[in-house]
Amino acid sequence: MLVGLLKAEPGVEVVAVASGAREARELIIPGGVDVALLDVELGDGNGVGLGVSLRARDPKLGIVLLSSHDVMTLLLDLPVGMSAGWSYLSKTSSTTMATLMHALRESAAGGTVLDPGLVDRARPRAGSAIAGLSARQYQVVQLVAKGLTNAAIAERLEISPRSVENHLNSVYGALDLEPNGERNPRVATVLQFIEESSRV
Amino acid sequence: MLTTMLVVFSVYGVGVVPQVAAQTAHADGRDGDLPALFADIGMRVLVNLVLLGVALAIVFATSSLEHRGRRLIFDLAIVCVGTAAVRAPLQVLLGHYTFDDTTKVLVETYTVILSVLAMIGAGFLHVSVRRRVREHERASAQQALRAAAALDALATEELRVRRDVAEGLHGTVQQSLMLLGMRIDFRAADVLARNKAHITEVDLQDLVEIRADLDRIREIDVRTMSQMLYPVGLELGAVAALRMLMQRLPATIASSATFDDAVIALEGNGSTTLTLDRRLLIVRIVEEALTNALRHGRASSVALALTIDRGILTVVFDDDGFGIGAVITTSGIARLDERLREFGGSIALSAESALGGTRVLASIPVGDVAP
Repeated sequence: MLVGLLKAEPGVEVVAVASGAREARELIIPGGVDVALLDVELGDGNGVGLGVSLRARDPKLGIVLLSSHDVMTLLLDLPVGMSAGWSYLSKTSSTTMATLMHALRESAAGGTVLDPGLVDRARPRAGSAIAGLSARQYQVVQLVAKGLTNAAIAERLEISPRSVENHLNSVYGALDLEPNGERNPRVATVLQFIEESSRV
Repeated sequence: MLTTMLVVFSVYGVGVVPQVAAQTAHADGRDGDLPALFADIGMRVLVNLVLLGVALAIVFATSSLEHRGRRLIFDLAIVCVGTAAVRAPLQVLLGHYTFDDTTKVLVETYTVILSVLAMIGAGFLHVSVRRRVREHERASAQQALRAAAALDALATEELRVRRDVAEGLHGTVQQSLMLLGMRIDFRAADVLARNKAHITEVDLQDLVEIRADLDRIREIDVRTMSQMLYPVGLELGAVAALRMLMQRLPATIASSATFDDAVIALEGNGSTTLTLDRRLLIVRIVEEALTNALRHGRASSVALALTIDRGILTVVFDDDGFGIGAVITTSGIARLDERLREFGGSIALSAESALGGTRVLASIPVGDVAP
């Protein structure tokens, strides 16, 4: 059913449909696919392990994980340099086609998208750096975690894109994530958001 | 078979011979002639050895055929007659008796047949007893193997059922409770809008409590039951299950979870190298440590660290709670210790905690899958 919906989306070509990890590895050719939508629960393995092996073969492949359980903490242990382009959406009725499409497009472009409902329900953990951010800074971090671009964040918060950049830079400072070419600070911010929040 | 035949042969073929030789010499009046006596004994033993050879040859020649029932008797008859047939001419040749002595020849033949029968009979009996013992041992070993396999299958099935029930609780039950809550909200708002004048404070309060109870059942009770049955994310690896466990701590609890590279290689990023029972045990250890820290120790900060060194996985859980004081162990920890010892591991509480409260230190060998 999902495949049908995806095929009907403009700008989407469903290259392959696999019923398990082994079949996925056979059907997904490095360079031939922009983004892979993986269920975390697979009959012959799991979506995280599969995603890691697919990414090892194709560093440009976007990965969107689907699960009925909150598994975003699994992004924390991904090999260094592999953390960009991974997204997670909850497999519940609150995930709409629009949310899914957004996640697929962003991940294909190397961005990170977390389930918006879970991001909203997250609470900063006591004693963490995220808990030390100002209300506005935290708002910006939440929107970055949902995969919004700076322009989209500016629109949502009704501030200028310049302000968004300033907020983000101050967040990077507060989290000790200066842009130094090695690590993508945007992705690192989202990972720290995951690590330092409580999500019941 | 061979051994038994040789034993019987020795008794008759060699043991009896000197007596027979002496008797014959005595009958012939050659009592004092020792060299002749020994020569005679030697000849007789030789004859019997030849006969043994003949009997063995016949047994081996027919051994490829099935030795069962009538076939067996037929074979035995062949061996006996054959042996006797060879003995008689040999005895004549050696001058032990002539063909005139028919009685003596007949008696000798019967004696040979009986002794060879005894020899082979003993051999077969020995073989059959040995076979019976071997079969009994094999049956016992097979039964033990079957029992172990059945136990294994049962344990796997139990975990599968637990997981299914846990998923059912997480999905269906939670969903139903959530919908129920929404229905109450809607009905309450609707009733309030229509009957403002007649709604009492008690009515409203009761509804609020019902709503709160429902939420509590959904978010705490059902979730706890589910986790008790089967830890969330267990099939994704120990790191996943533990991270997800720590994530669900209330925001008021400061926490940190660190896993060294070896642990991540083993059980992180979707890897599941450890056996399911070991993985489950590791998660149960942290669950127990967490429960003790929050419930008994009133901790507000916890830290978890997993490392692997020389094939031993170590779990260190610190909290900033009251500390253990005089308590050396709890029943939960004791139970975990029992389980861990089955794997060659152990668990202990100590007051030397990095956060000032209690430390739970557990170790479990994982050397068969880790460096």
